[in-house]
Amino acid sequence: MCWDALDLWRQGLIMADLPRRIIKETQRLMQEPVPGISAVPDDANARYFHVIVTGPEDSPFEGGLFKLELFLPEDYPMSAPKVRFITKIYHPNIDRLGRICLDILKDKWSPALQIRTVLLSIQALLSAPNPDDPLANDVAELWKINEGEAIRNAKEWTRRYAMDN
Amino acid sequence: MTEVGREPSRKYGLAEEIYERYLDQQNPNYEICLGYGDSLSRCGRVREAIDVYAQCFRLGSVPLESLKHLASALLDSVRSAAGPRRRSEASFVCPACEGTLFQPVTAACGHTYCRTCFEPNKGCKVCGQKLGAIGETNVLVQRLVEKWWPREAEASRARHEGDKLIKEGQVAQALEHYDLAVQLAPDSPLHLSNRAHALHLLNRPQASLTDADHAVRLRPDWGKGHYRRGVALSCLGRYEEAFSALCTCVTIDGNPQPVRQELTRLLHRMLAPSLRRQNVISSRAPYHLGQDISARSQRNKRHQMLLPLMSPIQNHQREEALNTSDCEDNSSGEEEITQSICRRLLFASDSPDNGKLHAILDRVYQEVRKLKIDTRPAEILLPPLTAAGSGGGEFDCILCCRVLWKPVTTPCGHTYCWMCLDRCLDYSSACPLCITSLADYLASSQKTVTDFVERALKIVTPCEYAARATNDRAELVKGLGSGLGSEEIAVFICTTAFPCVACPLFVYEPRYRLMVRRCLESGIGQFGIAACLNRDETGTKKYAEYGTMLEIRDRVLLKDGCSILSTTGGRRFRVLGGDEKDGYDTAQVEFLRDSFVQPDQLSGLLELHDKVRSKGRRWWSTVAPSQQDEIQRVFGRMPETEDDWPRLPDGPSWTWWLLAILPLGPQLQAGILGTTSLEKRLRAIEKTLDHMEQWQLTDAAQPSGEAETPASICRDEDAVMDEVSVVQDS
Repeated sequence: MCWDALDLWRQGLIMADLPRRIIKETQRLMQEPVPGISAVPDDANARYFHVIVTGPEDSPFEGGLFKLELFLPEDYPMSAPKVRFITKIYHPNIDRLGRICLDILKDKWSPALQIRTVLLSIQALLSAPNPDDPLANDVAELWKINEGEAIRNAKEWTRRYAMDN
Repeated sequence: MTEVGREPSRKYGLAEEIYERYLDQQNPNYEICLGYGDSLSRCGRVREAIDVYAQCFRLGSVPLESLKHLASALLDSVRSAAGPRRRSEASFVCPACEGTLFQPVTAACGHTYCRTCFEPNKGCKVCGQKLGAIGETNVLVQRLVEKWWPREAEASRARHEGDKLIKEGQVAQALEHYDLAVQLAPDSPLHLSNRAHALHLLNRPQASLTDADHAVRLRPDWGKGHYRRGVALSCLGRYEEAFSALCTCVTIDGNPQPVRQELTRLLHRMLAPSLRRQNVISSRAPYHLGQDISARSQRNKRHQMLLPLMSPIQNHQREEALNTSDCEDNSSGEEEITQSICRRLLFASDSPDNGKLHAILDRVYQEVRKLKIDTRPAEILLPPLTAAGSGGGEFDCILCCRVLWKPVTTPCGHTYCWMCLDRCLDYSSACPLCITSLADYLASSQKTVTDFVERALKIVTPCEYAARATNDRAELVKGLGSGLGSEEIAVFICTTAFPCVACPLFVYEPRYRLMVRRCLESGIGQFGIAACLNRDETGTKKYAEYGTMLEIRDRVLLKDGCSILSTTGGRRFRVLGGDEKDGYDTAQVEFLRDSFVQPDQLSGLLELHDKVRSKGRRWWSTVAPSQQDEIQRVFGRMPETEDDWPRLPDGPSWTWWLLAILPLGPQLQAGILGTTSLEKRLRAIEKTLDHMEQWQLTDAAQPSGEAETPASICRDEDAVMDEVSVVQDS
């Protein structure tokens, strides 16, 4: 699947006036995918990626397949990619709209980071929710007061929104 | 030689004359002789000085210190007798130790040294610039050195450790490290030379000489080896050879400083009467300088015999020049007589040993002249020429993923393309890789290309590097409206500027820093500016349909990377379509110019022009002087009317000056900018002035008149707006 996608991408998009950096990163994402993460560029827009992150083991999100969208702005890699969860997720650092509270996507962004490293960080965020730096206040609140219930909710949401679809 | 201390020699020339007079009248006296010898030395008259010093030794014991002037003069004369030195850069070694880089650190000037060779307060050995604060290890250079020359790198580590131990006085331990270094890189004369030094310190001159000989055999064109040889030979009492070796060292290195002391000691021993009797072993160098290798010693002898025959006059002249300072006046017959008398007095018993020293000197001069000096560092290291070297992406910039172009290394030791680093610093002052603050580096604006990496790129990936250079130029000018017929320009979305009118700008946004830098680096020096009209909910900005080109007159770069631009308005344009490049807007545009004035319209236009101008002047006179000053400081004085204004593409410049200072909204300004009819523009200005006047009157009529507020200006604007919409519709 990866190779097909790469070929498609080569045929259709390599001609576009893409920076070498984006071409290289895309090639590497295709050829050496990160375990548990798939990122495929859109047919029409090579700066837009369809991302699927599998819920990490031993986390309330285990077994889920989470869809995300990732967009490389015009001044990437000087600016961070814009990433958003499409699949609904019960997580203290991810809000209803799927926006992610992650420092490397904001002030801690460095041009030496890559799509790959960003997605790995997001995967790590699923393994280690940080209710002290919340984006979804209600979720974070519950996560702090009653972690057990919060985790039950997260599992329920995972089953409901991130499986079998 | 004549350059050698011309100024001081004038003084010593006089001193020497005085000594001669004195010696002429009195018998030779130790003190006077010594002074005379010093003066002769300082005048560069080496041979005479030798004779005088020899006499001194006969008269009393001469302290070592007294011979330093002779040593200096001798070294200077030897150095200047040699041909020009060419410094060859074809190696990748540390400029200080001339060996394989160990813990490489790149200085502000872009040259890379071993950490232990880096002396912050000293000048760079390559370019002379002060090295400055020491940074972190250059990661890329370290990786390349270890990959390309693994054994040499290991040997270099051992050598540096040995050097450290020598400094601490642990010579025996140092010797072990040097042994290892020699074992790892047996072809490097550097390790042998250092080991020779250690052996010398351990008082093992014969072993020291063996290493020094070996070093010189490996690299006859490396001065330090000859120096070590000279020291060892001197210890062994082989003065003649030592003398020759030290002179060869100076000839190659061109730097007499390190050798001076050793030579002083050597001369002292050679001139001392007790030692001069010693039988000197005939010299046979263990090395070959110059291209002839076979039967050198034989040829050498022949050479010595032939040389005077082949070019006796030339030779004589040369010798003369070497031994007499041109600063003194030898023309006077009287003085010649004095000198001859003096000499007779002094050297009545000219010993054959003196002659021996002269003979050595003769031979040294001959050898020195024959040397072909192409100064090369101790170790010759070149990167592998295999194409595979470039395939691994080891020269790729981590930011753009292309082969490094104009590589620069940060104080934290990371290497990026010059442009890539510039762009990063527009956004953040942290190093992209290690997050170290580069604020000081940015403020000092000391960026220089890392010489090591650039030269390696040129050797290992010549095609890619050349391609990057070509592409870089193309990328730089792309979308900046440079090409012939290309009407794509970069747009600064900010405000409306007008032709011929100054427009100062403060550039702080990262994207505009990049844009301005590209405009300047490409030499295009201009960009478009258009007013920002509004920003819709999605954050997408809309900008005015009409704008003006701005020509950059001056740029003050601030320490944080922001800059203040002085610009002047140029051509007007209409935006046809827009795009984005690395964060800033670009636009396809057509340039505007006023439509031609028909002959039958000219008189009417002249009349209108004069009327509006006088109205404008009248209004200007009503502006408060403090405001006038403020305005004039930014926009200058109201321009005079150009003689050919009806034919100018933008009409008379005073209209634009007035438009820039009249209180008009951005929409209105952009509208007026877009008119290509001078008449309509004049009418719009007239209307605005009329409104202003009217408003001033009503304002004056109301005693409680509120202060001039933006709201009150807006009131006016509505009225003018009608006029302009009429202007634009028609």
